[in-house]
Amino acid sequence: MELLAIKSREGLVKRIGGCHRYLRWGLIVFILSCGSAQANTVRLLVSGEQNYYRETQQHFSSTLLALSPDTRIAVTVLGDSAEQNALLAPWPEDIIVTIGTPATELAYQNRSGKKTINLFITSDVWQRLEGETPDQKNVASVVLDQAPDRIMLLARILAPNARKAVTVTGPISSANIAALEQSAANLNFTLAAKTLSEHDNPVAAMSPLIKNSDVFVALPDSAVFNRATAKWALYLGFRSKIPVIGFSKAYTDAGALASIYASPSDIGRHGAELTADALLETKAFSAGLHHPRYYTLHSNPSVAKALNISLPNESALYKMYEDALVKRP
Amino acid sequence: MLFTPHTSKACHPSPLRGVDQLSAAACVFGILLSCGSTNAAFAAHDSLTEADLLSDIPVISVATGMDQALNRSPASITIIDQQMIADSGALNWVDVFRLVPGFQAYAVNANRFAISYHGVGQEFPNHLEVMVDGRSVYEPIQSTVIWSSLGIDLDDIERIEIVRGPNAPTQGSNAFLGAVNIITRAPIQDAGTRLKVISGDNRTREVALRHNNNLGTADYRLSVNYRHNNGFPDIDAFGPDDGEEALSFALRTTLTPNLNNSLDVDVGFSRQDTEFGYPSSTEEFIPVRYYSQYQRLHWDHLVSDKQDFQLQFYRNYFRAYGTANLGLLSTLVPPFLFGAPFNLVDQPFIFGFHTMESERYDLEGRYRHQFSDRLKWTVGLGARHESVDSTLFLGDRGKVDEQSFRIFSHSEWSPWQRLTFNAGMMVEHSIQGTLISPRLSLNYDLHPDHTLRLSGARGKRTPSITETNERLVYRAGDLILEDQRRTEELDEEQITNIELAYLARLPDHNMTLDFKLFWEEIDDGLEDYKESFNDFPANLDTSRLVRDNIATWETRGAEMELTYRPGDHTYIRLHYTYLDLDSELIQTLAPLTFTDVDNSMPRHAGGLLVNHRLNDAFSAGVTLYHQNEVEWLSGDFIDEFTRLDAQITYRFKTGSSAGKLQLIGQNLGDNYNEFYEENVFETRVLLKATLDFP
Repeated sequence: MELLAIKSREGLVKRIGGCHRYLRWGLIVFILSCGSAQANTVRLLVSGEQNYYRETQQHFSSTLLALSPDTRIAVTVLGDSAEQNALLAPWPEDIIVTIGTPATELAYQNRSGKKTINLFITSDVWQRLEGETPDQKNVASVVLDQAPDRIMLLARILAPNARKAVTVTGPISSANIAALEQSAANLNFTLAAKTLSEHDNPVAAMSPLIKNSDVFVALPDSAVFNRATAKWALYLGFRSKIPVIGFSKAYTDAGALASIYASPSDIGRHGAELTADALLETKAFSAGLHHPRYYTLHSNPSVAKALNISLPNESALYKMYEDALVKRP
Repeated sequence: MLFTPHTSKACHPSPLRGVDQLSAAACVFGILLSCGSTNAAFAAHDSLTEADLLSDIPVISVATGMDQALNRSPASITIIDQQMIADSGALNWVDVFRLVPGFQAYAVNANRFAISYHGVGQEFPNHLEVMVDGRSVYEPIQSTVIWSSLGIDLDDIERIEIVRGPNAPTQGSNAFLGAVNIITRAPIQDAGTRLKVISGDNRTREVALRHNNNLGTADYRLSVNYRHNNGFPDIDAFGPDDGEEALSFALRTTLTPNLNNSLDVDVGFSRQDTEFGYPSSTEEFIPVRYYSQYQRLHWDHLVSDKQDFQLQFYRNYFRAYGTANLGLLSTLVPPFLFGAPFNLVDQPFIFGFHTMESERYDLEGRYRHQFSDRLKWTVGLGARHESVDSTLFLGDRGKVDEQSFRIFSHSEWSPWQRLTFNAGMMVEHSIQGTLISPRLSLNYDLHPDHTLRLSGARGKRTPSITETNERLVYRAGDLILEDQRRTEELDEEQITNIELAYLARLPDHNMTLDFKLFWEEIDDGLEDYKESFNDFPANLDTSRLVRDNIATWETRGAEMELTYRPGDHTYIRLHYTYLDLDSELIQTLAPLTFTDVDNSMPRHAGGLLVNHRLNDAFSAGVTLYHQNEVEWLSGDFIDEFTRLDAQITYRFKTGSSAGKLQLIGQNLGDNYNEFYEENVFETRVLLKATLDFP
């Protein structure tokens, strides 16, 4: 495998005005080539230099090259300027793959009719973009957020005798209450949900809710809402000896009993499999929203000990979860 | 808003200079707040993004991390959490700090503790900053921490964060060798009432009551603690015992008016009656009463998911009173003092330090911004007003006031995934001048679970008010003699520190290892030398102590801390410290002679904690501590010793209440000595019972 800069090959530097500007924009363009003259080509648009984008990119590339060794992957890392990023299109490759919201938005703005696979976005972003440009027959998206039934299923496994589940929602996550209620009912939970505004006293609002519950389920909202509520939810959960089910590794590390989430490697792997299917035409292209095929469970034994909950080790937890996924209503 | 420039009285001129300067700082913070307190934090969001899903959640409670991951920290950090305190059977601060590598912890008197990091065994260690919930409890009056006046029940501690290394770049002058932050449990964390009773040898009795509840929208924790013991049994045998009777009260309150603001309001006091003195002359023991109180306001404001602002104001007040009536002078001093020129009149001889007081007002604002997952930045401003009043220490000068100001900044930058730079600096301005303490570190991840750290720090320490102004005067009848102690014009102490550390986290083996090699040098260290003077008659002692920047300490060593959980029910913790001290101090100026105190640090020390949960009801554990022989600087030569403690814990439920009985055996082996050879620590057995009511 060789790693080549393709700026001269594509005339990219000329288009955007020289190497200095190229560097200043933070645009880094590489080719991962396997040397085949008839290689399938993929344009990978990465939203930025953040670690989670890089990890997704690495897992996507390694999985795709394992599945389709003749693939050439051209990687473009977007800069900060939307106007200048827009100059990067169009892309000559067979398939466009995006990682992260900015790259996905750029791909939506520059619809080429080519097959496009969007990775590492949320279903919320997907719905917004689909609403703006509907009927994208050649666009598939693997979203980060877990379906509500998967979160409730983890709650059911870790709190098998629980009857009452509670959650608090913010301006974004309140839209998911109906789906969560349905999932809760399917798993014999009664769900109580309260929507908080920025003016609400979080402890006063959550305290009676958590006190009368068996498990607290945290739903992702805006980062600032998550941060503002997590601390109090975790404190109150400890106080009432109620387990908190989170949605990220950070939530579990902060004090939740366990979380289910899609890691960068989960998304990268799923995205690579979709891309390989599209390149090799082994399966019909499946447009639309895809919840992550793979998931990560992360548990906190210290919390389990503090709550006096018997927590299986993570491999046993995976097995229990997989079995439950198969058997779920 | 606490300090709005247009409304706060603090912004108007004040006749009090110190308060005026604090007001100015308050104004600055007010302006900052008015900039940062918009409701932009909860401005409408279009949609949820990946950044929302992956954002940091502040670590709390059972988690052992901090805002900064340990592998990115610029210094070695030890976390002692509540579980570890309970598992170790620790009953006082010495027990707790013997769990930490590099620390020297000892009982000067049975109930008067001294704790230092890389210390040389002083009675009043002065190089360690200690905070309770971010409030400094370093007392300027004795230039140390009066541990027994903190008024904290060990059960109320959530965790103790210990920076093992100079931390002046973050916490200022007093964190010269290290820093400790004792974080107490948040009121929201617990519910109901806890009753704790401890009873055992040496007439040890402790009763503590903790009640958590809410009043309107305020959650509070109320803690009351009473302690009594008779001190070391051997001391008791010779005369007055060095026991204690102590009472403390603490109220911690949290208000959460809305999602992006929370306010802590804490008040407390403690009172301890004990004995002060050298156990080799118990007839001169001084009954002493320590009294302290504090008030603290702390405001957290969430600006956005990447930015927050904290403002803290507190007041500490400390008073100590100690006198002893040693009898008529005629029974204590030579007869010639009753003749000319002294003309002493026979009268009761009252001995001690009478009353000494200190007070501190401190205001600090801190702003934190995470620019990206690669760059974090903190900046802060602080102002402090301190006063000390003591006839004993300050002679005729009476009360002495001092103001100081500080600005500090710290940034963490990871240009590549495996590489992290930390750069921090503290600039302090006080009567001593302007001091700059920088630190730089480079952390490199050999592997995601294996990190190397190279760090260097320079620290400067301003002498405390008492150190700068101390002057002891002897009065013998009509004759006022020259100072028995005097102080030269003091400069700041300086430290240079270099560390190479390795941090391993082996999650598959449930193991963590923290190992470091270090070199540090203290220049211009404060110590006393002896000088002769001629004012006293020849048959009296004609030497006095002079404090000056006369000491150099160079320490090399290694520290190791290992934790291992072989299963869900077993916890093992091992630590070891090697210290090699090379020191030089001026002993006398005329003639110029030098001495060293190279044996005043134990060369080898270490400990082992093993705890095993046998079933849901029973757990058992042992705590082992070993220390090499040492010649404490202000104490005695102490032979090497090994102390073995053991605990058996039984948990039970009765109705809606939960309880715990813990049988603690301390020092199950041979007796050993604490600081002075007369302080004999024997085997002790105690029973601790706690009952939690809903």
